[in-house]
Amino acid sequence: MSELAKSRLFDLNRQRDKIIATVEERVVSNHLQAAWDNRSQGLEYVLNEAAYFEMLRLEKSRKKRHKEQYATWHDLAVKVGQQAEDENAELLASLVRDYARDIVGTFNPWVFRLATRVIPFGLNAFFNAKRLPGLLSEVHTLSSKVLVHGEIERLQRLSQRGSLVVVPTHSSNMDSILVGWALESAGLPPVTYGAGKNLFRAPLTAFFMRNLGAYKVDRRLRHSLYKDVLKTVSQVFIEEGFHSLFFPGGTRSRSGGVEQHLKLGLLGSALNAFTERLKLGRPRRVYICPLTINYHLVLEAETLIDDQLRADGRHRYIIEDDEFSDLGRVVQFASNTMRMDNPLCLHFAPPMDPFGNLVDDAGESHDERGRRVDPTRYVETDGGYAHDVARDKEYTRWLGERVAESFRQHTLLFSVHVVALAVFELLRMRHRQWDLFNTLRFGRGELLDGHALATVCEHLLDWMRADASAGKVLLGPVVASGDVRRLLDEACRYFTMYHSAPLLLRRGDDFEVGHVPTLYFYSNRARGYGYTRRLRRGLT
Amino acid sequence: VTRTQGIGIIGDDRLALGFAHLVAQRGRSVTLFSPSAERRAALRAERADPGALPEVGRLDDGVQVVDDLQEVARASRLVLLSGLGAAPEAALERVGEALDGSHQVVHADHLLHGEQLETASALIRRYTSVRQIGVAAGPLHIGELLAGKPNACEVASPFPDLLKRFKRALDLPNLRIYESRDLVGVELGAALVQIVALAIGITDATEAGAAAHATLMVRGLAELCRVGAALDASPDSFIGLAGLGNLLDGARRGSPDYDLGRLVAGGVVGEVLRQRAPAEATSLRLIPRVRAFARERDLRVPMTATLDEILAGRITPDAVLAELMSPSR
Repeated sequence: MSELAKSRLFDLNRQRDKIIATVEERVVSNHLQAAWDNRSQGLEYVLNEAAYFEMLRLEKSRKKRHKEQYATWHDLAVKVGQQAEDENAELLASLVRDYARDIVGTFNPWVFRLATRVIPFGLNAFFNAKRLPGLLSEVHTLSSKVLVHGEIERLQRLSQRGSLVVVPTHSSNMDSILVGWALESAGLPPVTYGAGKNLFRAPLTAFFMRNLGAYKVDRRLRHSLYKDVLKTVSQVFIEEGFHSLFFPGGTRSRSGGVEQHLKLGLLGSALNAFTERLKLGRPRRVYICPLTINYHLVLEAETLIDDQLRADGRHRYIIEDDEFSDLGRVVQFASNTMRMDNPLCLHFAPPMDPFGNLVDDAGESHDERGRRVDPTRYVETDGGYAHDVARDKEYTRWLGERVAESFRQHTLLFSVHVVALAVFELLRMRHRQWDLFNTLRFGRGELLDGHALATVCEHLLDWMRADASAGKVLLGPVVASGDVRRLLDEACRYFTMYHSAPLLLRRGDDFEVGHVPTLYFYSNRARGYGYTRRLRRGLT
Repeated sequence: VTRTQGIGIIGDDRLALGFAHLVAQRGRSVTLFSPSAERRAALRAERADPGALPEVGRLDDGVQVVDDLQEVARASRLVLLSGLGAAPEAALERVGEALDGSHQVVHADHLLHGEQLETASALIRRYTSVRQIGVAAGPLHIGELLAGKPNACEVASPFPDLLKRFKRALDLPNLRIYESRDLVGVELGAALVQIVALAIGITDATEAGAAAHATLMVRGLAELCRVGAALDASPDSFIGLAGLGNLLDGARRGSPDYDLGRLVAGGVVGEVLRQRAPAEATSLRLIPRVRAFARERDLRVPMTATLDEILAGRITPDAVLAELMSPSR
């Protein structure tokens, strides 16, 4: 606990007002400066844009509270056109303050200790209930089954030298709870992170979200002022030495695939924080720490892929009711997870600086040839250090590519992914006239020849093992063994274990295809490595 | 001299020396490093290179030839890399020892490397810690520039400050520099159009006519756009100075690849062609790799495939026209 006690997060409550004040000052002065420099359309535009999007959001609601809020925004929209610039500046400051207050959370050390030690349905209870008697006895051994590996020692050292920004892949609402647990169990300090407002409402998580330093992200607010405040909050946290976490994929991977198109906004706040500290003459290193969260089975797989495939994706970013809101499904999932040999694995990939260079144990950056690099040189200008929006955007785009590449290299492929890909590709080959949606609709009930499936799996295993040797991907134990029989046995067991409909069933020597969309979801994890192309070439 | 002014030049080919002389003539500082110690010594002693730059009897006094890459790094943030060649790894490794994240590198390399058709910017990123990278390309002729004739080129980089600095450093009265943000597109456009130049060289030699010439050019560019799109390039870059500009220029005055096409039309193929090909012709090595790449990515490249067959001697050069006239499959 001594290392943890050093974590800035334990200081959050005392620092909260200062952080909010810094955010307010920063956002307001940036807007004023932009208006002054004619780089923006002025405060009136910013306030009107906020009012417009808020009124749009609230106008259809029948809730009394929303009607009142609508009226307030309407009044504001009328007012901003009539009042002086300094009054608009005051209005802007008060909005920013309110948003910052809503976003920045609190940290309760008591709740943290409770969560990690006592509460049965809290963090540790869910994954590490060593001290629990009887209740949920399956959970008892889960901690021994959840593997956490990778660059843990390096991250421990780096956490003493700078701010960590943990960027995980995202498949499930369980991820943030799981990462919190994984950090604690790996001896890493707790992190602050942005969590969707729905998690602050879900009964299972709300209490912890409010007390463990999470900051609230309201995805319904689409105006740029709110996004500015959010980004500035995350930047100030990093600047002030708080370790952070955010999911660069934005939301959970709907397709089941490894995220490759990352949201760069929050990733860019790491670079901004690094530059800001240099400008202030108080340099502080920032380390980007990619983390892959690898599940055999994903709690919300069915809802996620359904959402991905729905033609009308307007609400795709806010799923309010999924398996995570259903306590029964969560307990069933936990219970089934216990019956797996290696249900899930978290892998900390090599950390990098905000420019995508890898860093060593001492926190020093190195280029791809292993030469030491001074990261401050990237933001150096002719007269010191400076932010440069266009330059920094490009640096961040490059960082995003490096993180995406790291995700791909450090994703663990499990038996379910390999077999799902093989089944799906066999279906596509058998019914060439079918497009993706026909395969998803009509594939169910198809009988696949056991020998053909095993042959395709063998090819996949060969390629994957070669790729793993070349450092292009990681493999789960059964996939790494190269044993096709074990691979099919394990996948079939998992495919019938938890989901509402089985995904693949043995029928003598053959296999019956079950729920194709969920199979597709699992197969997507193994895409992006060129296996499909090679298979299609081989199968034609 | 502050690092904000002038330019560092790494290379000793015609472009590097020509630019060094012209920029120095405008009163800007130029720090030049030749990879060859022998040429560095010769340049310092004679202040001229009659082989690469016969038009210039004496290099402007503003060109400082240095023996240490670190001096280039110290003297200027902006560095022009020219003449990297087909195996630039060793040269870039040395460059990587000297340059750092504060530097802005513009290269003038129009080759694609490896099976994945990597551009020079990808290699620069791999071998150095430089991130701010750009490319200069287009129908640029040092001889014409020196003679005061109007020239134009395209410089592409996603970094606006690099573009600004490059334009300021190469502020010549008879050089118009166009800006682009599509670094990969301009690199690919400049490299891949040599394939079309070869095809046009063949048909022009067979006197197929102006219509065939134009059709082949358009179809060839469309094919290259498909390859470019697979590598995240914008099709617009293929019809800019680096792509179409280079192609029109080469077809008019005869580029190495266009001349290679004329050689092929005369029945020279296979090993003999390899021996007789102009040293600067790039399409010979490029075509089989583009074809393999297209196969891997399921891209239609009928012109490249036909040229590959011709170069290997498996079909005759008039197949270019046969392919052109055959209905699309």
